[in-house]
Amino acid sequence: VNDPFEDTLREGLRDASTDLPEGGDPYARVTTAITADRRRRRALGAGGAALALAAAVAIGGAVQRGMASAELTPAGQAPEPTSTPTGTFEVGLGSLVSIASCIDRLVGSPPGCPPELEATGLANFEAAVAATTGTTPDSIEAEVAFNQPLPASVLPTGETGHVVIYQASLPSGKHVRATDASLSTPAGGAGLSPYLYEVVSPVAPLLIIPGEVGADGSPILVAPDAATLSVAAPENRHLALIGEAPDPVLDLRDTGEGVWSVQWLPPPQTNVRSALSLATFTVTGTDGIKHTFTGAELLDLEPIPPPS
Amino acid sequence: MGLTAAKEDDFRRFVETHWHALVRTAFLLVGDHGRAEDLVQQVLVSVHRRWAQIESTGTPTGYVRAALVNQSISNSRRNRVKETLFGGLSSSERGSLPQGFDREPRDAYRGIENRDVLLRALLDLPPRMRAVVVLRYFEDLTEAATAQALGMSVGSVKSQTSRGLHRLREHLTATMGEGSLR
Repeated sequence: VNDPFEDTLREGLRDASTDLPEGGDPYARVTTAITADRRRRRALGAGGAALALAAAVAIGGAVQRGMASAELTPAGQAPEPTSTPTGTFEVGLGSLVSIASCIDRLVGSPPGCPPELEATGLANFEAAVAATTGTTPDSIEAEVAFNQPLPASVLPTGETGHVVIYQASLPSGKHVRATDASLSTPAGGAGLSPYLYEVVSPVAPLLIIPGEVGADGSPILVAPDAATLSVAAPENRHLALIGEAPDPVLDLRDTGEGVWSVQWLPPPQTNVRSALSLATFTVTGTDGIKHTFTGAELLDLEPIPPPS
Repeated sequence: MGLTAAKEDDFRRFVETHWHALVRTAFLLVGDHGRAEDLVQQVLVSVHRRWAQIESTGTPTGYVRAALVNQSISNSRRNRVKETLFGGLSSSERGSLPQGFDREPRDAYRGIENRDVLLRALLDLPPRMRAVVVLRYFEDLTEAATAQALGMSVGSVKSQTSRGLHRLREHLTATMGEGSLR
């Protein structure tokens, strides 16, 4: 004899899931994920960390300089937009939000660039410079170096990449460069709906290379020197690294509690002198599709003054 | 390496035909629509790599369903992201009655009208026990089929089912009051 509760349970389970929205194109979604999975596997198979860094450098150095350029000194003083609106939306939180907001301000995109975030972004950069060089910069400059759809070879899902290059002038006369990047998707346009991202994970990706993650979803990236590793506050999850070989691969795992665990893997390359900020984050589009990206900030330090 | 065009077409039809049903099952396993879709996507990406073999079994639906529940259990073990059906509410908040649930208990119980209460109860079960309940009472699988899908013995399915029902009844009774789930 059936327990009435079991019948009620059956009915309840069906009711509970019956109103889930249908629609969309699940096959397109799955094939996009399959493509990303293949890319990830290829990258990992060929030394994903090295490729991630190489791609980061490639994006950071890619063309289109001068779309908008302004000097931001002292920190937090925003310039007037020097180019036409791009109609894009930034993604990310923490440093990324602030920097992306700063990008938006630079390129004159629609409202959404709170001055405090912009100031925070510059302050973060300034703090990163101070932490990695031991000196407070005299001034900071920012330049939008890249602001266009990414080629399919880099990102097959059609997002627009933004790269801003910061440069700090140090009292010693040296300069520190930081290349930061974010992604956005077109807002408006024929047949396109605004594609606002909701950031799910509050982390601070600065250079976004999708899919270059470990088997468990952890980012795997190149770090130059384990010996000088320092980890800043968990909220911005910034790793400041200065040094040269042995150039280990940094396997950075988010434990889910706001704590990063770090594991060093065999080095894929040598002679890197830079600092990285690493993170993984997930964004959800208005179409309901979530995307997970790996982010890295590359701070090129040349030459490197000794910490005071 | 990709599939042949014909196999890819078969896979596309499978996805388009079964996506929503799989998402419904996944929803009951994870309690969130977005995460349910992610879970289904994750499984289908894996399935695609072995689609030719899976399809050749003649029962791809059963295989994918089993992969779905097992992946759900595996993800739960990793617990990289806590299940947050109710958007991070505290346990005390989760324990409170939902809005609009001030009707007579018997009316409320009938048919378990309040899906939130049921989902809360379901998500309070351990992942494997939850999977057993979903396969038995949502997918209507037999005990033997459930055991096969989850790679466990029929005896384990029986005991997990019994304990799962007991815990669900306790939870629902505590939330909704005595006498509603008869």
